Amino acid sequence: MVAIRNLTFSYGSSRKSNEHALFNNLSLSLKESNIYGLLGRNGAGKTTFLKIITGQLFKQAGEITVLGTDPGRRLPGMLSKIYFLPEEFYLPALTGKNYVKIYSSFYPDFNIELFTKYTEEFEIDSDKKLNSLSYGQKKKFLIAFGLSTGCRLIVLDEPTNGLDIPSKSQFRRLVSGSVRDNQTFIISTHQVRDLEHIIDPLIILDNGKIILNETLESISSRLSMDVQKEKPEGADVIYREKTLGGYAFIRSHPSEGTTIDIEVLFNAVISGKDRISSIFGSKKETDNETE
Amino acid sequence: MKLNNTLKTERILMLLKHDTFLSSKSILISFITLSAVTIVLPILAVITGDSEFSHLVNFSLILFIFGYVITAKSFTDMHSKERAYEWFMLPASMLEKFTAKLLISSIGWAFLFLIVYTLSALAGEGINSLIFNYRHTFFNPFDADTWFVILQYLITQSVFLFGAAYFKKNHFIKTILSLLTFVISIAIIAGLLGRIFFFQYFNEIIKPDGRFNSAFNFSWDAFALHITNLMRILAVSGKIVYYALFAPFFWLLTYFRITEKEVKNGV
Repeated sequence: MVAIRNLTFSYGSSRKSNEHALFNNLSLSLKESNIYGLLGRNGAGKTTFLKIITGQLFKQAGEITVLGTDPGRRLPGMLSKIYFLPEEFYLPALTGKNYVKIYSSFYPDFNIELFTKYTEEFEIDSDKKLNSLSYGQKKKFLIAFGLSTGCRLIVLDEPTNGLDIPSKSQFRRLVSGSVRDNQTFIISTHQVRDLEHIIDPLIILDNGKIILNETLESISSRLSMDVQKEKPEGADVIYREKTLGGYAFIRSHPSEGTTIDIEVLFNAVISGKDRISSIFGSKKETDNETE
Repeated sequence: MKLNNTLKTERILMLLKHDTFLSSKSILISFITLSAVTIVLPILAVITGDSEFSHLVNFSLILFIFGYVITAKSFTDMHSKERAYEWFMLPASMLEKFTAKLLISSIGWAFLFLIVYTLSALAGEGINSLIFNYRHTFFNPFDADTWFVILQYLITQSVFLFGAAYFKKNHFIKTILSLLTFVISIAIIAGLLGRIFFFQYFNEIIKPDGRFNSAFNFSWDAFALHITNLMRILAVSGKIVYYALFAPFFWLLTYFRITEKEVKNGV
């Protein structure tokens, strides 16, 4: 679906020299039928990454293939199979129905029945002018439109920002219910709690590097998480953070029935990159040996 | 590269529909305003006794000025921080997006305005006939002069299309300023070349002490004889460059500019 090899990208004056490259030799492979969660701190390069794979920014070096073509060529065949919803978006002064009339023709697999179903679920009135809707309603409209396009790659940048609590759960329900066999979602977010239980695998980006790209199953097979009142000690405790009722912590061995708290995991990965990469690096070596 | 992957009539039509639908309100307001102006101007000309009034001049002025302004706004979406993603992600090739913008700002504007001007001028002169029992010569949309003016517009607007793609903001003003700079540079270069190639005339006009030689008798016939062949070559090559190469050259530049354009940033 998406294959990236040795991607190098910089902004502005450092473009020619690659001295302060945002991405330097970044490699990543994304498979079909997954809902990838792209996590990272502010300025980690998440939005830039999404803009590169959707052809809005050009790479300086390396190879990128999205749906079999280089996204930088911006071919209509590829663009009609990618839907991108940015954090800051634009909606023209049209009614929802007219918007669909104008834009759906660009997407050959657009499904109007699905669109009607999604807008009903989000309680969006398609007869209203889109610019008269609130930010959250506009976003829900675009999410409903994007899910109805039938695109094979759906890229959502901070989709739950600006949504109220019921809309967030509607969003989770719609996304998890709409993913099809040949479809892939990439959801970039800061609000990991909003997307818990739907994103899997997780990609954590920090300082232009992929520091984790694992499924939740793989993470559970290496790490365990728990909460206790007393400060957890021991060589296998790789991360701990103070919570309201005590300490949330991560041990470097699996434990049955453990659930992954993505926020704690994210903090652990960011604060102990080397430790985490050694755990998952050694796992990869074991996997390769088994293969 | 398959051609229908980058150039498909159906997608160009979809883009034309998209662009006109999105700006339908401003198109309608603009044409109503222009129509009102076209109706009022010949009436005012009769009231003020303006004997110089000409529909062709009026038509040309509005066609060029409004056409250049419309053309200069062609790629505002592409430069906008908020809307650029939509321009890039809309499933059509850059060639198709360029073609749609070109068609709207050139032929689209010229033909639509021709129709609106013809009908409005007819209405204005009808009012003149009824009220003042006088009217100017009707505007003839099929007249060769009208089509000559349209042809000039279609050629020259290509510069403003390039300006629209090249400049991020204030496209119209920046294009005008660039053109002025270019024209002044050409005039300076032409002056210098004239000084070099026709130095003998300068030597005769200006005395060695730097003062003007009042005894110098310039002969246009001798001068014309001297430069006839050069002028003929320049005139023919100038026409070829202007009518055959000028617009395609700027279209090509515009197309290359939009293909290399990216969204601003957004870490």
